[in-house]
Amino acid sequence: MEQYRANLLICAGTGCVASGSLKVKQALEEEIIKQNLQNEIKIVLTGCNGFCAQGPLMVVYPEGIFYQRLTPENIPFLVEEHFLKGRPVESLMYTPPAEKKVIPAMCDIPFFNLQVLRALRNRGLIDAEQIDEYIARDGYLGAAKALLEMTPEEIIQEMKDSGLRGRGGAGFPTGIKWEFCAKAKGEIKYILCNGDEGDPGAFMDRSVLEADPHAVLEGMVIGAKAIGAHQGYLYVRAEYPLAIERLEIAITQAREYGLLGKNILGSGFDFDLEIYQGAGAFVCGEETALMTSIEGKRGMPRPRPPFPAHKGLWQKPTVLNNVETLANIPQIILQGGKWYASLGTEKSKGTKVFALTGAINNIGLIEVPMGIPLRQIIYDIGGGIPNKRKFKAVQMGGPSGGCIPEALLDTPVDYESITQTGAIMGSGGMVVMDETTCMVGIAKFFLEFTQEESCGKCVPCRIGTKVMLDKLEDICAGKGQEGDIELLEDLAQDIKDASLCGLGQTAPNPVLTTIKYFRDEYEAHIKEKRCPAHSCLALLKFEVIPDLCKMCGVCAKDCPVEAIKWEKKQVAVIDKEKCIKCKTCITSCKFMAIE
Amino acid sequence: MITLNIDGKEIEIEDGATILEATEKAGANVPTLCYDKRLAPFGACRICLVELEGTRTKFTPSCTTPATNGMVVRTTSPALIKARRTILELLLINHPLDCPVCDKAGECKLQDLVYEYGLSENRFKKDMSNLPIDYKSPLIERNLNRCILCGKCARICDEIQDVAEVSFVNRGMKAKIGTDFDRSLDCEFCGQCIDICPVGALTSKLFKFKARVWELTDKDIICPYCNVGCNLTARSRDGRILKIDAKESGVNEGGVCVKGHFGFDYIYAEDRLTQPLIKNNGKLIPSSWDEAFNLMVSKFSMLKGQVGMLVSPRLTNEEIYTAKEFMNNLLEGHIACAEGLEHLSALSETGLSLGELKEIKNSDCIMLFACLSETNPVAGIAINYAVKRKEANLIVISPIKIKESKLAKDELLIAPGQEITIINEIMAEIIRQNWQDSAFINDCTEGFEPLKEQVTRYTEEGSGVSKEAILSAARLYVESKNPCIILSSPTPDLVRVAGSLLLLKGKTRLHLLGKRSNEVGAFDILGDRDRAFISSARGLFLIGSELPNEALQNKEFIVVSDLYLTETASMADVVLPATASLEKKGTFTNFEGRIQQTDTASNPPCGAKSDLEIISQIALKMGFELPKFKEIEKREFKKGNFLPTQAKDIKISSDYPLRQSRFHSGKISQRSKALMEVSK
Ligand SMILES: Cc1cc2nc3c(=O)[nH]c(=O)nc-3n(C[C@H](O)[C@H](O)[C@H](O)COP(=O)(O)O)c2cc1C
Ligand code: SF4
Ligand code: SF4
Ligand code: SF4
Ligand code: SF4
Ligand code: SF4
Ligand code: SF4
Ligand code: FES
Ligand code: FES
Repeated sequence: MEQYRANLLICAGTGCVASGSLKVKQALEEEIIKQNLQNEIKIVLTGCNGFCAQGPLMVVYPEGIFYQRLTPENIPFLVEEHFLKGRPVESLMYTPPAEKKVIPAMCDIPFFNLQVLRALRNRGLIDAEQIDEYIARDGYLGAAKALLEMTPEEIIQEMKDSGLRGRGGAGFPTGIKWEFCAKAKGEIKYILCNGDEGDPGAFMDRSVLEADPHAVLEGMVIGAKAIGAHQGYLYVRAEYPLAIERLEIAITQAREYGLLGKNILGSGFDFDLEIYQGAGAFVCGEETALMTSIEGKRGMPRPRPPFPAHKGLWQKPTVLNNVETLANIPQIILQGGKWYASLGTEKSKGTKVFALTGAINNIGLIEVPMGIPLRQIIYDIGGGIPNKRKFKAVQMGGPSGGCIPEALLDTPVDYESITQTGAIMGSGGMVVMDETTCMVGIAKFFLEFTQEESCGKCVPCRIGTKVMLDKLEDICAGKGQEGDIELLEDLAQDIKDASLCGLGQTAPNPVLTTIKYFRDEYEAHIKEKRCPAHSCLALLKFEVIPDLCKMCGVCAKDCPVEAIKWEKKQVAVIDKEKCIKCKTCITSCKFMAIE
Repeated sequence: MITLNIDGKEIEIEDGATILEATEKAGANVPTLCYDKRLAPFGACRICLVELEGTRTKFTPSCTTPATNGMVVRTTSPALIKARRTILELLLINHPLDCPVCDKAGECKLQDLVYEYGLSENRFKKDMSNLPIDYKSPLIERNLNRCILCGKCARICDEIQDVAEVSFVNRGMKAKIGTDFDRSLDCEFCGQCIDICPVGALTSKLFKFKARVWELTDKDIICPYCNVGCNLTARSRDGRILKIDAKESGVNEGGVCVKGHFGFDYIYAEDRLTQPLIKNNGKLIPSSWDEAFNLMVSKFSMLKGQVGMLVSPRLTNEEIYTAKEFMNNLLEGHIACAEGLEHLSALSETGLSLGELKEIKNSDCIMLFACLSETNPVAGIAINYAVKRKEANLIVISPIKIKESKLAKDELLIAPGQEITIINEIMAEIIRQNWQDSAFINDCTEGFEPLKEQVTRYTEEGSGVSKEAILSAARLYVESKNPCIILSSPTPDLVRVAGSLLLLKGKTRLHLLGKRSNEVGAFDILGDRDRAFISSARGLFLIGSELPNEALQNKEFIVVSDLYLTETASMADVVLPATASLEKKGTFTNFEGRIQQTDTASNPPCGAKSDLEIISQIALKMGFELPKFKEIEKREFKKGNFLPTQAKDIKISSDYPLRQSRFHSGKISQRSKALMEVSK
């Protein structure tokens, strides 16, 4: 390979592409040619780097300098300063919120330096469309070892030693799942990859697929050998066109290299893959629904037993694994289960990827060791809550999960501890909420989602979630009644106990956890007709609370219809006649002084 | 066998049974809404929850969970009752509960459960769905506001009928059972979805506002149409059939087709004969039974030995038998079946016996020469079952694409009329490869050598099917364990060659379906008699039978007994109003040779008599008491005969299937308004 003075790794993940990284790349190319640096500087497009909120991103190696929020207009200056004059441009570097000092090197940025990259180890480093770059970073060595040197039993043992648990949500030990399927009777078996990722706001799997598709393919090859499958399917939602494109390229290249298809690496083992594009229903991520969907039928969950390990896709023994689960596997085989298990807690090993979003400074994709306390994620990696607001809760597990309050922020991130709180580890959605988020409202948001996404098959989920949703809507609209909370709790329990699939069985969790930790908010809505977060429109009075008003006048400045009277050192006053209830002032006020 | 404990009771049950089946065996009353034993486990309604000791989950659905040895099950507990009540409450939030005008009231599972669980009030707010009622579809009314989304209709239509006309659409509370683009039903109209619907969402339009179910009298009947011989329940009020439901027991196991389900109104056609008619000056004049009988007695006595009789293969065994005794003993004339039964005598020649429906279900390779969805739909269900549930290989051999083609592993599209040729070609291939069961052929058959000689001469692709396709079908066939060959109303030559093909594989039963309810009974009693006597007879007694006008010329005395004034009847000297099979007791022999009892489900028109009454009464008048019908023993296979047969001067008859229609229709179906509504 040619040696370059500098490698510019530009993020071409979905987030950065959306914020314009391809235009930045074009500008860079032009500028580099203009300055005649093309033989010294190489540009590489990578998958998502993780720090999406700061995009478009570029990391300059060998120094590892992290540039953020680039625009094509910045480029001539940047190229001249950094690459001609050797003066990295501070104004385009990262400054932590509430601090003044820039941090030039990526490895020094707290967002990155507390992370441990395993599933995402190639993120931001390789061009996902070049199999050679993957291979250069030990790619397919795990598969080679598994195919040429290991028996299925040995592979399964390694997986069991690793303690890896399914990252799709349920956390079932992968080695044991493979063992069930390996032992199931049948000539034909399948291995499937779950890339449905339907949780609102989640994008962990998309990032893995975009940044490192070969890791997933390699994981599937190893799994196939372990269970004795010769055909696999990657179920990816059709809304992920970039991921699908990169997977298609990866599959083609892997076939060309003899890493898929007949007699892989001369091992005598055959395995090939197909992509199945899902229609984007959340419920299709549920394992049996995913299988019915691949079978060409409406994606509706089937009763279990029979379990997929015995009767899965087309009634044949089948293993389904999540994208992130699979991306971990090559390294486990290569470095050993013990190596993987060296990180994490007693029952939760390795790392977990999270999509950190919401009221947090550093929005992005992170991979952290199991056992890390939530507080560290939110305050150190996430950089805390913006706008000087107060932290209220962190939602984990999306529509199946729950809200964890401030008091439990020292909970370590592992399956059992998170479950104890009433939330679930889930597939990696982590939404941070501040004091302006209404807990009844958030429960309602998730229930709206599950009600719409319920496949409609079973009564408790189809109708029960609707009844709960109606109740929450009533409560938010000020029509809540004494006894509603108890009715919600009671019905929630029946829905959990009686529903057919995971969707219904977990749909009440957001309601149950918010009642558990924020019952007072529910009561305020019902008894006092008051929304403590100042969020539920029907309960807002659009009045300034004099005791809280700091007389800053921000509200008056922001009001689009000039309905707020304010003078220096005076409490603001809202003219209700003029007010159009747009809630702008409520959002603007940093002191929760408008209700 | 496994043992489990249900509510403290030890129960033994076969491996593979569900918990629900075990609770049934234990006599426990676990409610169900979405479960049906004919359908694949679904688990939608969650009303059948039970408690299982030692599991992580609080409740377990009993209808989908296999019973395992040592399970300890509780079918009732305060928690279970509460959960079931919650489910009912939830179902009721958008259910109209318009029982007073709902045709299902009285046998509605929801109504029954709401009553049983004593739900007089609901904790939840009503949230009525307001879907338009489908009044436009023929025969079936769909009021989806009453639907509880158990999915049974969609599942029976797909899994059993293999039509998939309706299916789940939308999600969440908007989920419903729909057709493509919400259009009206355009399906096979078997109506099985109505029967299986636990509530009043799907109802028969024929029954609409006719009666409350508790006013109905139920009678067990045999379908009057084809000779699958479906067991049905005719439900009537004041002696008039208002609806027909399939019976879960019996050959059809709950199956029924459009004819059996909706076609009963042929007996209420306006042109039913209601009194005897006697020809007077070329005109048929109403008369009394006595007059008619007297005239018949005197004429028949005069023409003794020279009267011929034809009977319909839709009469009961008792009637056909009595008619035969009457002719033998009293008139000393010939009797034959009005329709040719040559295919059945060809079967006797081969030495094979009649195949049964359950063998189709359990077959691993089915060779089909007929579009059963048209001729014998419920037998078609058995094919769907074998293919879809048991992964049987289906080989469709037909001149056109038929409904069953889409299930076929191999489809051989032959030139019209080349069924015999292709079987010969398949046999040639089997014999060339030496795939036949030689031991069986040596021990149990005759005539193999001539067959071998004849078929192995085939080299041309006379059937219009490629050699590879024939080889592939031959291989599927010989490699199977329990192959079936299915024919419907075939030519006798086709029966002969199909018989040989079965014998090659050491098989001794042919699945030979027919269009008329009692052809096998007629054959068992009468055999396939020559009808040449018609031309020489001086008098004719035609029971439910028609003849071309030429055959009726120059006859001295013609008596016709029928439901309607057919063209033949209008040429008769005496016309007798007969009763239809739905109006009488008796037995029919179905295609399997099973003799089945049918009951009087409807009052006949006041002046009509059954043919059994007619014949017995004349006989009595002539001073003779006829012996009672005795069941004929089933023929069992003794020795098989290979009958080399070649396709010769192929005639394409008018009912040869060159296009597929919704159902085979004939004289009686054309009198059914319901059937005519969907006959296109
Ligand atoms: C409603 C529902 C949606 C799900 N969606 C996903 C999904 O989008 N991606 C995923 O990997 N797993 C999803 N799961 C979990 C899968 O059913 C399954 O457990 C998982 O893919 C197994 O892989 P793992 O063992 O590697 O985690 C979902 C489960 C439910 C009940
Ligand atoms: S729980 Fe919900 S999503 Fe799952 S099967 Fe039932 S209705 Fe469908
Ligand atoms: S709600 Fe909107 S219109 Fe009303 S006072 Fe606030 S900013 Fe102005
Ligand atoms: S479906 Fe049942 S409960 Fe509903 S209206 Fe009809 S009879 Fe009543
Ligand atoms: S009548 Fe028969 S074919 Fe038509 S929708 Fe109902 S089950 Fe399906
Ligand atoms: S129409 Fe009847 S059978 Fe069909 S889903 Fe609704 S309730 Fe069930
Ligand atoms: S299959 Fe034949 S016997 Fe059965 S209902 Fe239809 S017509 Fe009647
Ligand atoms: S897309 Fe660029 S950092 Fe996520
Ligand atoms: S009867 Fe078992 S779930 Fe409906």
